[in-house]
Amino acid sequence: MLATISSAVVDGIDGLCITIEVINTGTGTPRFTVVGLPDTTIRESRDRVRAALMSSGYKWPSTLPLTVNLAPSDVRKHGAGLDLPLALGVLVASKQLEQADVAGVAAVGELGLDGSIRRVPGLVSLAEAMSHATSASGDGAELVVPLDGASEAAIVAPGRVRGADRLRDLVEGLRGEGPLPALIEAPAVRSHDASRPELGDVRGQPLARWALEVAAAGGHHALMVGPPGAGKTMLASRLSALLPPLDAADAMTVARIHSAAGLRQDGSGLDLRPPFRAPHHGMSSVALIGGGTSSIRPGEISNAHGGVLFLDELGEFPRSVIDAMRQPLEEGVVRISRAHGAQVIPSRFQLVAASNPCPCGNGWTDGTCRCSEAQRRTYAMRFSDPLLDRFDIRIEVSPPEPRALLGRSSEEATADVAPRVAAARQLARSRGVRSNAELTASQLEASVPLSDAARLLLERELLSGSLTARGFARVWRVARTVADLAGAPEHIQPEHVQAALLLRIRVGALLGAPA
Amino acid sequence: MNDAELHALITLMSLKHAGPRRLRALLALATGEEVVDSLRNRRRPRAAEDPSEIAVSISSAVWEGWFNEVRAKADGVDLDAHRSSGGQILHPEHPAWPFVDDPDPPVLAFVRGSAELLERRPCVAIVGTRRCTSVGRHVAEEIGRQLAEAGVSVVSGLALGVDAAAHRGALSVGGAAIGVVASGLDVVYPASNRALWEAVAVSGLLLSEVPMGQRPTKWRFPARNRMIAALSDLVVVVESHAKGGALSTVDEANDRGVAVVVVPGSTRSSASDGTNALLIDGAIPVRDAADVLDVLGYAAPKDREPTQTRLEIPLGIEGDPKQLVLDAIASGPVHIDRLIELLGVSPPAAAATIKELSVSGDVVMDGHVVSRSQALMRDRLDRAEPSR
Repeated sequence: MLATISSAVVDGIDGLCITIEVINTGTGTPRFTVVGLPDTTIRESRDRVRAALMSSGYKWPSTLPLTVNLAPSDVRKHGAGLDLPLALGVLVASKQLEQADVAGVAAVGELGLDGSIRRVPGLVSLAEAMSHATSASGDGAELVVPLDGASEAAIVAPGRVRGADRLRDLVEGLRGEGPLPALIEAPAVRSHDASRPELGDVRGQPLARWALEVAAAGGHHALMVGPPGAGKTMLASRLSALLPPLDAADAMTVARIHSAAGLRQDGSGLDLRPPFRAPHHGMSSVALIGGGTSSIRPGEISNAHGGVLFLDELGEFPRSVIDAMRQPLEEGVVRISRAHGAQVIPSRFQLVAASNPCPCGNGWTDGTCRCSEAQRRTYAMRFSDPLLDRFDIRIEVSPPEPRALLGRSSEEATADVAPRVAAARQLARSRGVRSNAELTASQLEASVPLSDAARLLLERELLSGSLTARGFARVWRVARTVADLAGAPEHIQPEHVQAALLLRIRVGALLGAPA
Repeated sequence: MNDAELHALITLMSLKHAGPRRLRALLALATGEEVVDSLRNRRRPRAAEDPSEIAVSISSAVWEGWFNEVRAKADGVDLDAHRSSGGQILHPEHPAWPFVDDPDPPVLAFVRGSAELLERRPCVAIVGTRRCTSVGRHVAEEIGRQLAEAGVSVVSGLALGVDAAAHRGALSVGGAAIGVVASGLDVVYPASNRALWEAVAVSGLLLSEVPMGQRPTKWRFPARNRMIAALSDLVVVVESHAKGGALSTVDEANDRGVAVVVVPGSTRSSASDGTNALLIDGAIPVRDAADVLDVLGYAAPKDREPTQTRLEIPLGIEGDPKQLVLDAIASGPVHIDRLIELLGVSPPAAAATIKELSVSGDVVMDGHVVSRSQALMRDRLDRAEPSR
């Protein structure tokens, strides 16, 4: 008796539809062999399936010679998500269930020893893969997924997803002996709402608030340096709220990444809010970039895709971790190569970093610094120039005046600033890029004109040595964003360049000691 | 002085614990060659066998150390190394010997660069803490630059912070910089000052009493400070912590009757604790190079207007945003946030104003902290021009 069940596995963030065949070969010694490049979790699956079948009141066919094939057989497969289809296949092969009962079904889910069906990561990608495969064959299959997490699957296949909680209930439903779990509709789309971080909560600090607005409008990476208590984390968290909502395609990519990383909240629908990720500096480079030994999981830079990656205490991150981020910063995707193939995971994020000016945190401008010269130098050495050069915006954040903290906030709210940001992003799209930060050098020359006076100013900075060649283009881009926000449509004027220069101060003035 | 004697003296100067006082005491009784010879034979120089004969005490452990050291050190001394790449060995009979009548002169002085700078007057030392504030750094650099422009040689210790800033200022206008250091002239300390060190050697003068190849030991720094005081006509202290090394230069200057002037600092800045204490003790306060030149006697104090010269610069009408900014930073450095609030305009507009002031050199930006530049009025400097 041959049983065929559709299912899927996930690697990186891509789902792959697979077919599970279970056959009772009829002759030979009793056995349970799995072929088709399974990994350890799948080999162990036999014990989970046997326990789940027995505690659900079904028989484990211990006298039958069973062979399980996972097709296509040339791709490595991992994850406990194949427990459920494997159990269904064994039931069919041992004639406890009809093949016809499972013909229109693709299933994925991990089994508990008590017969419960557990959530697996990557349900968005899994559902996507399963729905493509089954609709291609034209039979309009239904997707059976764990009830916990079924809303994720419903994002890609609304109305075709059934969330199953227990193996016994599912099998009875398939046999027609009881009701099948209900079909689940697409959960409501989430966008910016009242819970978003409020820019109006930031008191005083006009420079930082303005820098944040420019960063949001132009997609510029930003570095904030300031003493503890200057509100750097608070500012950074406001940035994602200023960004325009994701478009549907980006939101779907984010959903796939977050689902594979196990970040999604149950019951939530497609989320148009740009993500904000703030990983701790103790993390490994695999956790930041993504990877893993058998299966590849997205890292924090992919979790921040479409949104903001905030690295607090940039100087505390190991150099290797930071340097690993440079290629994804450049390309917007992270490439993870393994012996059995490479994975490309989207990681287009806006980097916001914060740092104390020196180990003691006080900085040397007011003479309260307790660090020795050598300590400051060692500290400054942790920031590689190529990394620092990537920050279009580099500002020094001062703690707000005590006066500004008292009384009612009179500052502009997120709702005041966000429309200006959206308008600037619209202008960037008219130049053929998502944001000004993506403008290439040739695009700048061709379609982002400088007024003569502005060009002169910029060239003078370059010649005086206070600007590198790369910095030249970066200031140009930021100046365009400043001009966009100021409603200057045509040429960039000197005041825009001056503003951009002011937003990108010399690194030596920020970190370590300039001697 | 012949090479054999120089060789012997350098050998002695290379010994551990052989400070200038001890060496002078020994050399008052015998020549360098004689001292080396007896040490080589594991004997104290004859005159020193009776401890009462020399003014400073030398323990027997130190003598023992010298007996062991002297052979190896003598073989290691290379006079040519001290004379290569513009180097010279100065001795008390040398015409450029700068320590005539000094109470605590070195035995020899090793120099690189233009030794004739030692004969040029006036020389002003600018000293201060290695851990200076950005204000201190700017002040030291500006005073160094303006003194150099006025033809004054700037003496300092080539340490980090104030020392380096002062020399940088002097060199930026091609002025005369004299760096007095605590290590051999071929041992750059601190290593991060290498570029500045070389620049001083090329266009100014490096001076040390430490033979080539030797790293600085702790006692060498106060010893270096005494030479800074000895070479200078005036010592300017820019910033010093309460127990800073710069204060030892002040003590040495007082011992030699060299005047000490002090740049006042904020009472809330620990980097000014030492300097403000000096002011309480009666040191003369100075604000800038013109004040320093006044003290040196190059400009009559009565020429000076008691009002703030800063305000005489025609910068604009009342209520002009630039003037507002300049007024706001008159009492000290201010973060740009405060200025944006003060101007009451949008951040980009305020940024343009401030950046313009920085381009024109009226303000100095350190990160996002704005302070006023101490660009002196041209005519004050002209009036203060010393005769050369």
